[in-house]
Amino acid sequence: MRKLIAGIVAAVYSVMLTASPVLAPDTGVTATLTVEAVCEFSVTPTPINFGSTDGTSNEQTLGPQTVTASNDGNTDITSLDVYGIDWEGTNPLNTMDVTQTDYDDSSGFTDLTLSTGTSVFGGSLADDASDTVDFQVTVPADQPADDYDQTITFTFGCDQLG
Amino acid sequence: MKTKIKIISAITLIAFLLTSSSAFALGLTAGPVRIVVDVGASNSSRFGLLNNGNETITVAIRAEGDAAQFLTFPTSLELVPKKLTYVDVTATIPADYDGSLGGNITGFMYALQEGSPGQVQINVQARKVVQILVPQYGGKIPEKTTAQTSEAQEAGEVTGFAALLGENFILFAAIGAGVVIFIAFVIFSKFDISINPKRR
Repeated sequence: MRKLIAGIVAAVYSVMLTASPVLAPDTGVTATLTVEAVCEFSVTPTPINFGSTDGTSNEQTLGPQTVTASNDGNTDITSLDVYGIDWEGTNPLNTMDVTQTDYDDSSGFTDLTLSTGTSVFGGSLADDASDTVDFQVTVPADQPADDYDQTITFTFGCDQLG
Repeated sequence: MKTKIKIISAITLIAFLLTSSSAFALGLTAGPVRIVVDVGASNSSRFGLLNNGNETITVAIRAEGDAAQFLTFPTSLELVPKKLTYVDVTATIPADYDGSLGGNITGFMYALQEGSPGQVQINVQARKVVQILVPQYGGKIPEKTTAQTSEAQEAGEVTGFAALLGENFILFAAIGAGVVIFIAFVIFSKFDISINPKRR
């Protein structure tokens, strides 16, 4: 049975088990266990909610809403990016472009616009590290009244090609 | 009555927070999946996914890139909490493969965990690099670089004077004794310490 132990460095470990029966020569058994290298991505809170505009016809910016992304694994996340889809109203005719959402992250990437293609978010995340990102949305002045929602997807990996 | 309501509210809040915080914790074993496959043959490998939440989740698995057309794998997988679940991946190179994609065919596999619905739903997906290596067209497992090898050797070796001391115990003991005598000499000469027998 394979179990994960928090805080253990990924490696192959060996231990010599020795049984010493009385009046008999020592016998040894070598046991080997492998601790897998695992990167682990979590994000909280989820989902996020920007609330509502105030009913005026002006362009309005809602947010920021802050989420925290963490790597709780025992190896670095070596690629990390984010993409989104357009805002969709309950009326299928009402949409708002994905680029109305933008974000800043605490590792120095500022004023990035969300898009349907992948965008770098930090790019990497060391093990046991975390990063915060502020999302905000700008609602155009002429946006039809409706309830809109959006999906944002974080993609992570820990592959070192060589 | 108010106390009961407070306690129930607190328990509900704690339960909610625990559930929320554990909703997204998707793990992935490190390193690319490399599958060596001869033309007209199949071979398999796997990678691990970890659900570090508290409930069983289902992830959707898909492949993209040049390698995708040669891969078979489960398109959806249940991940029980706190345990690595392995995704078996089989690569098949047909007998009529013409080598147009070369001997190192790359692609990506994704495991998507959908988030809870809301105004902004947040999904998380793990991405795994897949390389299909076809020996007939030059595909092979990359060797470790010289730099990596020398770094490993440096880490494991003790060189110079330290190595000399490690190998020669008498030299080590002699130097140690010399240091002790020198320190004792300095102390006695500076502080004028004399040793007298106790008088009763």
